[in-house]
Amino acid sequence: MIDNIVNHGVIYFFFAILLVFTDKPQVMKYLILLLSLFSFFSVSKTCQQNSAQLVAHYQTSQHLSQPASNELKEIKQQFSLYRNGNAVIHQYPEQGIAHLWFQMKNQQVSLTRYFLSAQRGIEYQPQEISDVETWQQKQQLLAANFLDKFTLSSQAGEGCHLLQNFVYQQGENYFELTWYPALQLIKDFKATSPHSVEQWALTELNLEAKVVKEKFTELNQFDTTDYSDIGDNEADPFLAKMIQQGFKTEVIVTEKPAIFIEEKTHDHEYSH
Amino acid sequence: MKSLKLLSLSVLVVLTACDDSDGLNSAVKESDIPVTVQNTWYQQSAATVETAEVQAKKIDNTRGKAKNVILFVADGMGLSTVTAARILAGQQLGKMGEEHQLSFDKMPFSGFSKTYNVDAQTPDSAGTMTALMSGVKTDVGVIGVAEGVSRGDCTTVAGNELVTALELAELAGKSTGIISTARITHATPAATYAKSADRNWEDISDMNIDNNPERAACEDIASQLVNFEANLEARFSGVDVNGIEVVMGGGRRHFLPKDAAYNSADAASGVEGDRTDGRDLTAEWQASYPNGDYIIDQAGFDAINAKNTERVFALFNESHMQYEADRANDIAGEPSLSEMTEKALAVLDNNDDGFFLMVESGRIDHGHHAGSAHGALTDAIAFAEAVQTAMDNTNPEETLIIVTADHSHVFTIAGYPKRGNPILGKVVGIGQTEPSLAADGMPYTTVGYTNGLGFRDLGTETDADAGYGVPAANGRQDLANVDTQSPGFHQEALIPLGSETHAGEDVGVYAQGPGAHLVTGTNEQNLIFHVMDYAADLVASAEKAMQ
Repeated sequence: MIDNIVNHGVIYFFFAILLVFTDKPQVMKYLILLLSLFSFFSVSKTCQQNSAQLVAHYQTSQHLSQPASNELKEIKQQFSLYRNGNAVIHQYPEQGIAHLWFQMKNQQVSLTRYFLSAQRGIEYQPQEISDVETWQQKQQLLAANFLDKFTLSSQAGEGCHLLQNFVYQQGENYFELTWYPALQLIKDFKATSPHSVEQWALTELNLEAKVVKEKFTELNQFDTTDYSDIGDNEADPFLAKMIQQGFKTEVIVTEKPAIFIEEKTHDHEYSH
Repeated sequence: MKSLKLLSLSVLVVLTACDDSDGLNSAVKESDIPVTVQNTWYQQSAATVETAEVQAKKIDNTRGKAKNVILFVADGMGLSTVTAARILAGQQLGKMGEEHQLSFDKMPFSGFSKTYNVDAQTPDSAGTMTALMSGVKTDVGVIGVAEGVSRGDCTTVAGNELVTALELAELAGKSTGIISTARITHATPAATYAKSADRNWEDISDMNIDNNPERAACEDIASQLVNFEANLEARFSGVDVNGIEVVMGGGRRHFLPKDAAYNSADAASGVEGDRTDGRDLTAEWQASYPNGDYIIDQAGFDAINAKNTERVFALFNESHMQYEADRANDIAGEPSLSEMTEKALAVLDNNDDGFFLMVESGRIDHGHHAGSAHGALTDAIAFAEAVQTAMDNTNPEETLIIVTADHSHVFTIAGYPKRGNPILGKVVGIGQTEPSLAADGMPYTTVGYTNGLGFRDLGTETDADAGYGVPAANGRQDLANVDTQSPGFHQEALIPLGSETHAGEDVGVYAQGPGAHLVTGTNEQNLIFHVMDYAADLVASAEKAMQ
């Protein structure tokens, strides 16, 4: 967003100079009107573009208390979301894994799981589920029907900068969400339950198309294999490992974004 | 009394052996064991022997009698798969199941193939299909080249290239066709037309030429398919062939550039094509064959008028075609194996010199790898239906049809279920109504796997590969409240592996038509090529055409 504001700075500056040097109220009125209109359309268009193409890096943490021992356990992980139209990447740096989700024309969602150090990918069959919620979970990390349960507590800013604070109480669980509605993006999220606190914090937001494209290009260059072909490839050391071991437990990644939904909405949800 | 009956039966056998005309029935009627001879099982089998006798008398051992040859290959259809598919097909028709006959069960001749590869006890499709198509056993993982090749070493291909039945048919002036429900560049179909040091070199991006520059001298499999005619003419100087008339299958991604601009309407990925050389092989094919039809979906398929069609290049899916059980969910729609077979025959039989057609059911193998008996068996049934289609649409006097598998899988039919027990169900013993319990107190299924991902309960899910997306559940599971007959149920597996594996036992071979009588006994798998060669005199016909 900041980049876009800078990009449009020249135009704002041009209008500002005209305002300063004009002494005719009528001209001034038109200039102000033009400036307002430009700002409105510019922000709307930018937000629309940016919500479809962005990189969001998150720091996640999970505090677990063990009632029996009074011990506290903290798990911290990085997570990155890359959006590019009808494709989304979820990257888990600690595990060295990235999931590329692609929404097909019939609304089915396909998954390719990339192993970053091996520079290889495994393609899964598209999910039969074709509802909107499934794609929303991938693209904005929580489905609209879950967001609908939250109550708006406050908001600040406007346009792309509008930030909304939501809360939602569900039994003993309490959820707090700070949300960029223009970008359809989580800024902060906190889920508090009697024995755990899970937090997500946006640490970096990048709206440069170039960065997004670089990531997709990087993954697209990796060799990929259909999972259905793995069984026929015992001679390939990488795939042989899949045959022998499947996915090792240490690289099994929970679909954290989908876990924001407290109810399990789909039996077929991938939960690796 | 028991001794007397046995004695009588022995006498009957001797009498029958002495009288080879109508002695069996007349001798039996004179016996004192009506309980035996009036038994339906007895009578049916006796009738079968009579039929076999008639078939034996009709054998025409003339070399080259077959004008047409059709080779059906069911990838991964071991004997246990045939049995289970037969039972399931019968049960779907309301029968008990075991007595049912699949189309190829009715063929007059059968035998067994030893499937091992030159370097492997348990084989893969590349080595086995090379044996079937060329008459030469070879190594695991290589396509259309002899065992002198080193897998992955392009420099070892030259001098090891084999000639296939499809190439011989092409040289002999016959029409040729390839059908597969897998990618058309996958090992089995590839072994009909390609020579490759690695089955995975399906397109140029698979060859990693940047790190292996010597591989630039080898041609990827998809390119070999599109250049088949030119390559064959270059290999045998002076010949003029007209290329493969029918190509139907999946695998569009290996024919398109890695550029979203080339995506088809039903692309399953952001960038459908994989090719890194910028070539659009579908466009190249259309340029080479302007009168041919390039199609990608059911609508295009339905629009083909076979009688007026010179050739067809159909790539119905980005990767493999759908499982039969999941076919209705395909984005743009795709035909069944049976429909493809019927259409292919209608195009190929336009040639008075005959044709060679290879039809592969590629996803039986994938269903098993995924640990889904439902996926594998429903595809095996679809395969049997395609064979029936071929039987119905060809003249058995002039068309040799061979049905076989390339290899088996670790798929078992176990326990002591009663007759008619649902083949995908839990074992229920004779006279029982409740499932039998194992030593751990839990029920168990009749069919299962020795290894693989094991238990999954995905309910009504018809895509067997969906099982790869959920966590493994190894070890015994309590199936008491699980519907094991549902499409999404994946059977338990003893040894936990990420993918179920092939097995090494023999597979069945079934045949009808001229030369079919040569399919008998237990033989090396590469014998099948020689049966086809004998039946259609492929080598001699090709040599004659080249002179």
